[in-house]
Amino acid sequence: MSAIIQASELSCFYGVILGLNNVSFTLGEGITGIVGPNGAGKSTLIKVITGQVRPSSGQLTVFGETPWNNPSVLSRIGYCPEHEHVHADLRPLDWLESLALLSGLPRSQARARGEEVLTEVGLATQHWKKRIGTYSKGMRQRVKLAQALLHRPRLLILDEPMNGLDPMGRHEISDILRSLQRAGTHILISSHILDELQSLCGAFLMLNWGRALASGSQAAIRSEIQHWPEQVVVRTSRPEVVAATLGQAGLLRGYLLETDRVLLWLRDPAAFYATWTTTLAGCDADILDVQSKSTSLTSVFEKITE
Amino acid sequence: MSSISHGYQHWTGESTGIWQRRWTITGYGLRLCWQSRFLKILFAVAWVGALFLMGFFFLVGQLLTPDSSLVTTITENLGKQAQSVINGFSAWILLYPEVSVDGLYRLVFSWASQLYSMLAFFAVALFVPKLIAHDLASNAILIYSSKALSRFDYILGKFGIAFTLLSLLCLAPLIAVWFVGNLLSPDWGFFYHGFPALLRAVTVGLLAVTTYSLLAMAVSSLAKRTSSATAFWILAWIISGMIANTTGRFVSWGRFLSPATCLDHISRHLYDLSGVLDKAKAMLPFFQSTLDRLPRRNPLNVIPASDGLWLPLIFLLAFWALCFFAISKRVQTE
Repeated sequence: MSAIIQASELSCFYGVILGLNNVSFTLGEGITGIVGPNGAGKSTLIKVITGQVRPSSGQLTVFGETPWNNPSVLSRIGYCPEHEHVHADLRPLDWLESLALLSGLPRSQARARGEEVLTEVGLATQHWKKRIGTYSKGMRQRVKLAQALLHRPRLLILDEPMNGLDPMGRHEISDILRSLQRAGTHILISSHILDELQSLCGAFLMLNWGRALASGSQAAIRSEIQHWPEQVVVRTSRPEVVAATLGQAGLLRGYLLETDRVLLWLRDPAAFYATWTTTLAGCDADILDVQSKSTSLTSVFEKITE
Repeated sequence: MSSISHGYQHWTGESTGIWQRRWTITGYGLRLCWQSRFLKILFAVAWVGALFLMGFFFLVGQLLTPDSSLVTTITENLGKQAQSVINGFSAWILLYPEVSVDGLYRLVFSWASQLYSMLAFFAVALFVPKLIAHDLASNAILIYSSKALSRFDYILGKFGIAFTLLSLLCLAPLIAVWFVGNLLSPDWGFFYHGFPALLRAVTVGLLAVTTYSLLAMAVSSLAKRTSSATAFWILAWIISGMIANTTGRFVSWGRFLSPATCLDHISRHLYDLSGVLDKAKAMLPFFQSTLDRLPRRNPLNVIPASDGLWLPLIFLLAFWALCFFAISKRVQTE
């Protein structure tokens, strides 16, 4: 897998405020998620990648070139920012046409391409003649995504693209992103909604306090975490009986009882998964559901930021 | 399934050149600014003024036409004294076209330049919010700067908006006056004799338009809200004038702390009206006696001498550099 973005000892300061601190990573093809709480440095990193901000020190390359003030790199990148950046008094097609021309598309094709991307992002044609200021947040989000796709970029960067979208809209955007990936577009996406990233991304970059904590696939990141105290939730009619049974079998490090379920910290996950069916079959309780919490992206992130 | 799955491919067609992309910014901005009704009124004033000046030069051309019915009608109504002045003027033009035509154009262009500078001031007040402040306030600059453009391309595109508007408002009318005025004259030698005056007008006009454009962009980039950009523009003009006036009382170069004063001095130096009048006086004693009889407050007698070209020009260039620095600092996403 070839590297699309490479950062080496990258730091970025806004005066005395730290944006990124000595970050090094390599991001490859496919869909990569940037994960981190507010202030982690996600937006700063995106701005460095899209050439908006010059790094204070270190180096970042996209397709082997530095993006700062570099139209050659920017012509291969599509960027969908987080907040509203659209002139409210414009109609979407007029705006997209001018942006297509800015991206270097010939005048003869600019408007047609605008119509094409509006169709791709699922903005119904009856809204095309309205001013963007009259749009709902979800519709504006689609127009923003459309402008990023205008010049058919090789790398698409999305900052919180699901904000303001209803569940159906999120599903549609996810579908579009998967289609783009299949067509060979590399996608970098930052989101607070980790569950959505989990289903969408093949790899992750985890940031916190301006530092890169981990990068790679979810499984690879998880495997790198030593002494992982795996958590399992068992929904049952008698939580105390389940906890006692598993405890006597020597499988638990600890547990937390709730009314209809018990949260278990496993001593040895491998031993638990080999024997839990037989062990629990013998106890006097109805087992309704067994779910591992530790494999979710949220728990990986929580663990890594501890 | 998304429609992207069917036939999506990366853009492989030929991209347009960088100048065309810069022009996109300019063209889009021009369309946005042209929506202002007041700006259209200013343009109408500028071009109606130009039509009057064309008429004036048509009239001057008629002085050389033997038995011109227009001149005859006018002189008959004005009396004998006026008739002798007009006859003297006609003779002067015939005898010394290199001074008379050039001098007349210089005089008219010098006054017109001052009038058009005022129009430029009001025009900038109208379109200054729509330059950079518009993009900064809506944060659209974030999207523009993520496209295949450098910061310089963006600034150049925006400069094109102000420069084109002000050129069409202040410079193009003067060029049109020169061209049409000469076209209507009976002697095509007017083109030749009036050309140096045109060069002076174009030089003064280009300096003024560039200065106004850069100042407008700097003010627009410093305003955080579009509504405050116009107020900034007017305040900047008033404050720089006050500073120049006050400082000028203590040190001579202090007068040039206002771009308006710099432009005024450069304009005076380039048009050199006192030089033209001196030549005219030397050629025809008639001018000497007539000008000496004029009251002291007559515009022809109060043309102040220029203090040289270099100092105001250096200050003007410093203003340009300052503006460019401010613009490039402000045209950032953070």
